[in-house]
Amino acid sequence: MSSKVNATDIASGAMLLVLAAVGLSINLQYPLGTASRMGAGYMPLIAFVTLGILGMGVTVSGFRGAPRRLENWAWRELVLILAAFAIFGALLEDIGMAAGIIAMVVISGLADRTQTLKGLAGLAVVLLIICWLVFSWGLQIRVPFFPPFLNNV
Amino acid sequence: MLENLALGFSTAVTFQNLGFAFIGCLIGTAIGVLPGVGPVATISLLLPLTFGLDPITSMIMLAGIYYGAQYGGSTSAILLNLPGEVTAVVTTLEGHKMARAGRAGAALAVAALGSFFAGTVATLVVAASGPVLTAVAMSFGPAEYFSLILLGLIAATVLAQGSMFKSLAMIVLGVALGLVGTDVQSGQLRFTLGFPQLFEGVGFVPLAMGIFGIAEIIRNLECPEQRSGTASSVGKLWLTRTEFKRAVPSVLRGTALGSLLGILPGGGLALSTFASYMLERKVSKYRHEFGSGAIEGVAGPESANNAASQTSFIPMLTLGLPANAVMALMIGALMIQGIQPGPRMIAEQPTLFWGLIASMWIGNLMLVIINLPLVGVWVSLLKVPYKYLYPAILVFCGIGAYSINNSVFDVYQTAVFGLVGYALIKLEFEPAPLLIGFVLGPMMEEYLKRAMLLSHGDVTVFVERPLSAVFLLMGAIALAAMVVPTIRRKKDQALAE
Repeated sequence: MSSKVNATDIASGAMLLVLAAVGLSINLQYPLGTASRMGAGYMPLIAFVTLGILGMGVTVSGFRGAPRRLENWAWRELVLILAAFAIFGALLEDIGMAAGIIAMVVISGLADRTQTLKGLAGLAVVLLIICWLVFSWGLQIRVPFFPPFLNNV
Repeated sequence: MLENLALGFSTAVTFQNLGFAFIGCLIGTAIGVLPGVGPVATISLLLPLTFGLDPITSMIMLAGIYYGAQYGGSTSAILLNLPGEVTAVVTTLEGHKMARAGRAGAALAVAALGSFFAGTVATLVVAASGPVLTAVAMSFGPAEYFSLILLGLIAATVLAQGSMFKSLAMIVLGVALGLVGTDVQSGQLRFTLGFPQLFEGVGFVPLAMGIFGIAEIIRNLECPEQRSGTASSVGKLWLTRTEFKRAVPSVLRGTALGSLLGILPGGGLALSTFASYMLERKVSKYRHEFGSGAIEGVAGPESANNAASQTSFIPMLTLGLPANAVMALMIGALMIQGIQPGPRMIAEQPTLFWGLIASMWIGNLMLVIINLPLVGVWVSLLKVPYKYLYPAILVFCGIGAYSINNSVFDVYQTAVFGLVGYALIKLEFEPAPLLIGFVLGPMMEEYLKRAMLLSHGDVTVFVERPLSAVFLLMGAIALAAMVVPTIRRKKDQALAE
């Protein structure tokens, strides 16, 4: 986008407009009812129409305000942190908390380039001990700590 | 009132409750002191810890966490010049200057003692005005409630930084997110996208944790310079006689100002600290010292902040309406406990109501008892490098998100809202109004439906009922004030300072 407009606001406005449009189109399947007996779709209709109007307002102000470029996204950090979190969730119930913690520390650790292998290993050990003490032994959380299949060996 | 307070204290002062207040204060401060982690983030991270407890104990622990988090924020503001949130910005102005001059101990002490005094006074204010306001609130019909919520939502954006459209959009987006799940009246499933886990709505904790916790971590990793800093040494942890004398009037003024402004919906907290700082700079005999470490500039705003955070419980307890993001979190926690805060709470659950008020005071007391002696521990926490902190915070978030419903889906939800929160930061939206909209949205829909049912679909009911009309008028004035350019500029200046 050219730097003559406030690109941040235009992108924001566009996002709001898209959200409003998606919301309104989903809302078509719900009964509106009448003003005195409102159906499930009445309030969403008001909310998403308002959102759309505000989205237009933000877009318009983006064309009128001081020029501003879109901020760059920290894709590497974003993807690594969210992936660490999701993989932690995927491992938690079936493979156990220990595996989840190790995965979380290692993957999220990659997001900071100043990390060292030794530092991360130490951090993982400390967290394993604390989490076992607090959640497994103390609060007796329902998830296994060690991988369950190890019990069958 | 004294009888009621006695009831409150007899509920709150048990060995178990005091223990949890202590633990809450301790971990609240421990997390809150971490640079870049403000009270909202701290509370959303620690919420799951309180779910296993009975309602009163969990509220007491939360109150401890809340005050701990706020004091922790002041500590890192004073020692590191790193405010965790808007209200702590003011503390950095004079507090960090004092720390540079070797008087960090005095700044920390006056913050703690001023906060304690302000908290005590404001607790009494809450106890005195609670029943009165509850009586008023009992006369509210659905139309009044709807208009009041609308006013609260508008007011929540008045003090937000940046574009008015954008903060209003955040509110509406929050309301829209609150629509997800089963419609209470008709049983119709709405916006669940086919996920059975969303039948009961979007998770409150995943939303708060994702937007305030995870997104902030990514943000902090991106801008390493904002979280580095060297902690000043604390020095002597007591006030000299002159410092004490100078601080007392500021504490009194800050307390009065904060108690009053805290009741306002929206930005009461931030407003009270800024207003107190401005006031001190105007009236102090030592105004030439402002900017180079004047103790009045710490004592006033810190007291105002704490008084305001106390009295911001008033709209929540009497009307069930959150005045700010922290109160939205508190209401979320209460609702998870199966309690609907509102005017009926005081009559139906007097032990909880008065126990909560007593526990606020206990939380304040704990703060003085544990924070001043432990200040060395907090300073050492400040020295833990961020690269070891954030994976640990992520692990606790993950386990916390899972443990609410023992559901992995909540972990995924948290990650999704982390992404949403990061996008909002990048697009320069302020996320706090979203949380308020999310909490108030379902109530707003409920009251709208009831009001319209009673009036047989006639919208004029909202202006025909006098109180409702007053609320709407105030909302309209607030909106108009934001549009008037001069006021806007003044506000932006005040917030930027």
